[in-house]
Amino acid sequence: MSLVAERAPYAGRSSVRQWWNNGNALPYLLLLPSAVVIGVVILIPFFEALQYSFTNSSLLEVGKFVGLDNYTKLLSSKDFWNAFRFSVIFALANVIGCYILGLGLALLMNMEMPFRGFFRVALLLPWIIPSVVSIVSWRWMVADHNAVFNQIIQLFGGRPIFFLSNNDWAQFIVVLIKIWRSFPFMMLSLLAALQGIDRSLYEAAALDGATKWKAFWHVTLPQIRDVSIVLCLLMTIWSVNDFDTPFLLTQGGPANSTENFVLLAYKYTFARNDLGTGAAISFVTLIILMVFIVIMLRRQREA
Amino acid sequence: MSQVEIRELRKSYGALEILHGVSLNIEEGKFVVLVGPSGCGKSTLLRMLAGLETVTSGDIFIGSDRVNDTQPKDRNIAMVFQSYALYPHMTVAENMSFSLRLKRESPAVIEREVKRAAEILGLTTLLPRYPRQLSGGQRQRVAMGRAIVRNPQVFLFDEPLSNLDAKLRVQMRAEIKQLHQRLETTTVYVTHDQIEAMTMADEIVVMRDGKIEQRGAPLELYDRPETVFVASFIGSPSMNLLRGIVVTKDGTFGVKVANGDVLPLDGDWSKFVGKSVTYGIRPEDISLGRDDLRVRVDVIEPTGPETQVLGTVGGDKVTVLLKARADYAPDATVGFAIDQTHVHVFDAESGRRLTSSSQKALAH
Repeated sequence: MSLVAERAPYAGRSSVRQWWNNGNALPYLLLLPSAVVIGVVILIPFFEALQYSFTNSSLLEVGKFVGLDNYTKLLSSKDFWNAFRFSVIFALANVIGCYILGLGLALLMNMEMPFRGFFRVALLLPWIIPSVVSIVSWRWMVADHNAVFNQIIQLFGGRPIFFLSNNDWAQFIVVLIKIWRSFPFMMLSLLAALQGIDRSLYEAAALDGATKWKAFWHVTLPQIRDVSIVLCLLMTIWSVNDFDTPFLLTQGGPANSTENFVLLAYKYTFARNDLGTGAAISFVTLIILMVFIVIMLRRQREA
Repeated sequence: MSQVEIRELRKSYGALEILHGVSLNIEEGKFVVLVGPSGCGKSTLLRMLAGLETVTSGDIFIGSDRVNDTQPKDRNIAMVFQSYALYPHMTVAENMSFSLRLKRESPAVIEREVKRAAEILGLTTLLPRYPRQLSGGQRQRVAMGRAIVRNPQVFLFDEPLSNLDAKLRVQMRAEIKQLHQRLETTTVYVTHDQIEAMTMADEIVVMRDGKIEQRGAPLELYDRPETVFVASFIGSPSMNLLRGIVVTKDGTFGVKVANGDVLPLDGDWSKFVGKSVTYGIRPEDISLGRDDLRVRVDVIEPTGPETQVLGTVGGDKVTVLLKARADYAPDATVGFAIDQTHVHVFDAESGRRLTSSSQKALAH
């Protein structure tokens, strides 16, 4: 009798307690810290920004709800389409450039050659050096008519080129330096993928009558295909979201020719004090990237 | 006619010589197994035949052509790899047709050849599958199918069964042998497993330390090993090898071993009296009866039809395979009879086979 009486108060909670005692709660408990961190660092700013993009907020005050005004204004502005154009050029050129350079060097590093270990480390440097240091150094080398590159050009009797003051040259240099900074990651990842390929596949291919080139086409490329697609997706995302390279080299100039979405958002938010439009640019960028990624991943699955 | 001829073939990596001048003729249609412990150079020899390793010196002929510097694809050979080396991104049909597609054969020819090979190996229903969807045995068959499709002059197998489980290995062993009986293509097969060698080969080449130790038909090697190494390598359980000295008494000869027993010898060994030898007797040539050899029993292993007795004579391990059931207590000393017509005697120093004067007379 006494036993029943003692148990009675807990009867209502027994299922929760049982659930807890069975260890069912443990996975949730373990996930909690990261869920909290993600919530605080990503989700709250995300929804706050989404909310701002529908207002005419400035950096100093939360503005009024203006519906889709920011978005319609944006989509009809020349600035936006200019940034769109450069973002596409920048991402495309960077991905293609990095892939070709990265794959070429990875193939080279995968061969037996003297000083291979040294080259492997040396070629990682552009990726390891902090962006501020490397980009500012590059700017010193190309910026004006006394910079190293122009001194070399003049040494051979050429006229100095104002790399960062000419629209075409500036776009070229921004892309070039971005490639220089990001190819090591591509190289390293592709090298890892190449080293994972079973060597006997090449021997089998040689016996089957494949030349070096055919073996590359029929064995190497299919074997690194999946890694390549993921790498190119990552590169695209990182290129579209790159702030350091254009900002530190040209700040988007000359004449906005090297201004991408991130610089545009920065300009609206901090230079024009238009937080609403700045946030709207971020969301348009996000949507464009998401559409692109979904299309790519779907195509990968189909193939 | 010999299909493959190897003359004084050497292979070095830097200062390290792996093959020390190997010569070998392989007749057309034969199934030849290269067998030996790991590191004996058998795989290197096979890969040199395939053209996957360069030749340091010596010659390789396939058919009538010297192929030392010929590309693998132009040697008219096909190879089955230990790891199968199937192209993971190609279906079974694509894997099998790859060589024909590279040769730009017509689709009709490709389909016919793939179909033919698939029927031989029972792969027809698997043609649209990818290697990852196949079991180990099926992958093995696809690897062979890829070889068959090419109609090669010579098949090369590099330890093709070592990635399979024991049961499947026995099954695939029979399948490969059947395939050879059907196609009658010259085959060179590398393995470290002497059972595979014994069961499959027309001819076994035993290799050791980059040299050919002995070659011959499986039972020839079994019945008359020329060296202690071949004697211990071929046969399972392996031959008992006891160190001793040739002695004589009343005109009969014997070998006195560590525990003082004098083991019987057939024939006239007078010129070897006093010589240190290794006395070899296979476990199945020892039986119950006389007390030729007293063995201290360690373990008894009954398998049903046979009983294996593991024990020691002096310091040497001895195995006895009895065709009867028997039970002995551990540490008991038991006497066994030796079938002296099946005794092998080897020079203790050089390890080479010794023959009695009477055996020599018979041989000549």
